[in-house]
Amino acid sequence: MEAFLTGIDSLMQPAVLLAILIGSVGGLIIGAIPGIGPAIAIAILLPATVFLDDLVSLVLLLGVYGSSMYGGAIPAILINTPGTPVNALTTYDGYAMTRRGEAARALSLAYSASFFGGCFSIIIALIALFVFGPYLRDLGALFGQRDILMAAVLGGVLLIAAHRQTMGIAALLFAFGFLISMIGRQSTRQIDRYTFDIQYLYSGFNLIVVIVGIFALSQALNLMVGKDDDPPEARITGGLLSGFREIVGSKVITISSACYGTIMGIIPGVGEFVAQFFSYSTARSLSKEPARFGHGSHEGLIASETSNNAVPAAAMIPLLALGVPGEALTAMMMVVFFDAGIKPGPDIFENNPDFLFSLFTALLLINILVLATLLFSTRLIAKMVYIPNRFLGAFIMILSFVGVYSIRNSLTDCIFAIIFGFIGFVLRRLDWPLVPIVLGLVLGSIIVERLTAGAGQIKSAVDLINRPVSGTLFMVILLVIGFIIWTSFKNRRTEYQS
Amino acid sequence: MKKIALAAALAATTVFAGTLPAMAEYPTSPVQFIVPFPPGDFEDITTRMFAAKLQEVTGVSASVVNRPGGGDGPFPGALEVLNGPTDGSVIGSFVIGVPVVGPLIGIGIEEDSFTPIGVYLTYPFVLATAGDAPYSNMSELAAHAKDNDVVLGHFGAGLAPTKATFAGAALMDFEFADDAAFDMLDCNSLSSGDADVINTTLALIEPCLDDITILANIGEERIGKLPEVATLAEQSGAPELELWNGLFVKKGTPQEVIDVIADIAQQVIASDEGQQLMAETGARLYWEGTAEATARIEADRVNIAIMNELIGD
Amino acid sequence: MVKTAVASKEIYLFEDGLPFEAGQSFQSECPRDKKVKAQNLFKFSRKRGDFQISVVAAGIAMFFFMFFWTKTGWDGRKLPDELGSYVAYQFGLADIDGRVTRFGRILKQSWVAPMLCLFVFVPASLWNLRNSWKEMEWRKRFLLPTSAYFELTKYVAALEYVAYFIIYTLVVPILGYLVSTIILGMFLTWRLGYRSRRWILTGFFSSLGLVIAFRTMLQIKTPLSIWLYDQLPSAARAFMLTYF
Repeated sequence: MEAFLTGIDSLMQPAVLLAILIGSVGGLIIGAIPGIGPAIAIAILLPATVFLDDLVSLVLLLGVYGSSMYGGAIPAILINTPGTPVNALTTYDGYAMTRRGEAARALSLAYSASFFGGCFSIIIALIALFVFGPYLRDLGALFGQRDILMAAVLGGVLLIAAHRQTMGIAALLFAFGFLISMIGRQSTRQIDRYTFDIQYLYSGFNLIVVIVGIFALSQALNLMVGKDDDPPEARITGGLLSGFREIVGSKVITISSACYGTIMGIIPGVGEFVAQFFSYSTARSLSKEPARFGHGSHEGLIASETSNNAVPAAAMIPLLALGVPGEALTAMMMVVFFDAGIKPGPDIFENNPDFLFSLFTALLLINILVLATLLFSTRLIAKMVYIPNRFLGAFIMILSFVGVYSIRNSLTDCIFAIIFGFIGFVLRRLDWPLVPIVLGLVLGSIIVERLTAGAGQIKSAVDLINRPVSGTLFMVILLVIGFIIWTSFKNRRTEYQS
Repeated sequence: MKKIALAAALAATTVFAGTLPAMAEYPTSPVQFIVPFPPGDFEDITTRMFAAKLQEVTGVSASVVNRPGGGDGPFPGALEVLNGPTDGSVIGSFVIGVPVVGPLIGIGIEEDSFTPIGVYLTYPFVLATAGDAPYSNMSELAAHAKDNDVVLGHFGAGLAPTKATFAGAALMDFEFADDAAFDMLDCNSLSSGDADVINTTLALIEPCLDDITILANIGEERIGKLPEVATLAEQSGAPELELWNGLFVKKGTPQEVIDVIADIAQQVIASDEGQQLMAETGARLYWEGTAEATARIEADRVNIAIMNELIGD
Repeated sequence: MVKTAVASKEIYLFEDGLPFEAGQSFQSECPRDKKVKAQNLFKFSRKRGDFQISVVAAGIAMFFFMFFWTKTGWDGRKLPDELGSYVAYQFGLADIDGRVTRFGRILKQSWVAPMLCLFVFVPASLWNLRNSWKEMEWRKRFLLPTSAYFELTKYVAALEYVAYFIIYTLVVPILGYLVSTIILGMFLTWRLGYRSRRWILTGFFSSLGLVIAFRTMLQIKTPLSIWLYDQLPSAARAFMLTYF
């Protein structure tokens, strides 16, 4: 309990509160502008956070992460363009409602659904912390190097499995990211992988360089090379509070979607897309008017918005508890954790319990702040939606330089960042997923490190899996791989038929 | 007009409150202390105290950046300082391994690459094992290890304490079945079974000190808090090696930088906070300026050479 | 006579032309709105240029594979002498006398992780290449367009902006962060087609705002030896170095 109060206490400083404010409003605007997503914003802000205080920088990034999905619903509803990739399903029902003239109703539904989803997962996480926290400290002894190794491998396998139709490509890109993470030289351990004796490659590729390149610079190139959309201006008339009443009317769907979001967030490697997809399908089967889904059904809108906002808070859990990030954005925030002096992993419940409480309480504050902001300034923010794409692309490119340079003061880093940017650009044009590369980089380094640290106790191959946790995780990995093989055989015949 | 306002507003939303540096002699721009280990250990705690003091005294933003090298120990972080500027904006907080072992492994660190500002901390570095292990000092460990597998966990094969441990094992005529490099060795490493014996500092195993057995202490003297634990040198006859931490800058940094930081460090060590840290944890805080530190490094180089011969490196 | 002809249905050659009869409900010829499948949102279809890039990906995999043998420590590997019986021992099928090499000692070697990675990378890239090739063949069979020329033009267009970025990177140590960023901001705005004075000014002010936000206020590191600033008198030089 005192940890809770200490946590709240450290939150109540002016710098932290200012960061929450800037993070939420900034994240909202960033989400509202199609073309910039939280990934790009976090990638660009990451290097800057080194210069700020620990909790301040963390809260800033969290603000961007947690509030961008609120903002992303605005263009999804108004101009049929998702503000962040995660709001894609919102366009179906949201835009249909706008066409019917019900833009305000759609927006207020989206906000209240998002608010509910966000708060739901935060409260679940806080309760879990209160209830299970003390026990988790003892569980720490169960989690050795080999167990976390298995968790990271499971995360990778689940990531690949989640890309149902592009598994081969996801696997290929994941392995590519993995290989890139291994390039480097460690003289004390006689390790020298693929450095070709090039000085620059001795320390390997820095995670932030790759992230800024693959997410931010590739999008900048994509926008600059494309066309400006010129969407018609949508009018928002009417109040924005009606959504709450409608949420209460559809309790079952709201709660089930929030549960999906929370659970999918906790499972590493899965993320918002799958959460949305499952909750949308379940909502449709639970609904009394399934035919309206995709054509302006308020239940569809609730389902997609609730689940995608429930993911951020839940995604922090595997990161904090195991040190294994569940998806790309949390992987990026791991860097900030290290700079803040927090080591994610089973020890965190023992060493920094107040930090956990600050984190989730900050997230709660962010949600509340964003909702309040939205209720007053939607029309203003909606205008942000109309910033021309190509200008935006140029702006992102300029922003990225300063971020990359400040990591290691290396111009070569900047050049590699733009090379990765070009690679990301090519992948975007082909519709190949970008996330596997980043997760390959992050999980790859975790896997290699845990393997070498745990190798001391491995006398024979079975020692890898004869611990309770690693054994269970290994079984799950086998099950998932079996599932992948089974479904791909099932679908083989229908591969080229559409 | 609206679009300009929007675009400008977009630019403005990225404005944050920051601290503006004071216009004086050093330091004029933000100072970064590089700690080449994960957060939580003594060097991290003390360096954070230094950074806070520097910021308080000069008004310039001073921060601590952790650059753990994974299994490669402090060397990646050291290389970062080596590749940094010589204007005093990057200061390294290094252990003995960096100036003493660094030049031996061919990664670009030379014997004179870094100028010590001073050495200020001696770690209470120990060999620890789980409380229920069937041995409680080095000779019992030696006897046990002859017939059973004992796995050592350390911070990196090339580092000074690891070499000292292996030298001690060589002298006492036993071998570890295997060893592994970790970037963090704490209570969890022992309780989860990742290693049977670990090389670590008291700060990292503080929470479970009552549940574990300390086999030996690596250093010149016994730790004040644990007077009944003999040093490794006493038990095995290995050369005495003190594991210290110091502040370093890249060669060629102006003397003014060194003087300012030395002054700040000495203030912190003499303060109540510093004394309290010493009393509670068993670490020893003191100050040895540039000249004494250089002499100490030379002596340590000789000792490491002896140990390398014992291990056969 | 006309009336009787119209009344009989035989003058109609095709069935769909039959007149509407009383008693029949109206049947629209428009297809019904399809049920929205959330799956369609994630539908993946290979784009043009996919085959060429798949070849490149397979090439990269081959590159890593080729250099695996020399560049990852494989040539310095330490494996037990009787590898076959060692593997059998691990699976519990055979017994080895004397000291058995610890599996961990093998796992710690530097080539293990790249090897595991290549086990996934090489087959995945070859499998992807195969699928991409089959898709290409299928499209050719149905005389669908397969040329990747348009994609190529887009890549070249992107390369132009890559070049601008690299030039910017090289110019910053010469002209300083402030001047280079403002030049880049205004140039890109102009190049992208926003030629009105309003827009150029927007470019100017946003890059200025950026520099102030990140460099002046946050003091993010930028190159410290700048030719242009070195031309200034020393007081101005110190000021510019710190704040811009």
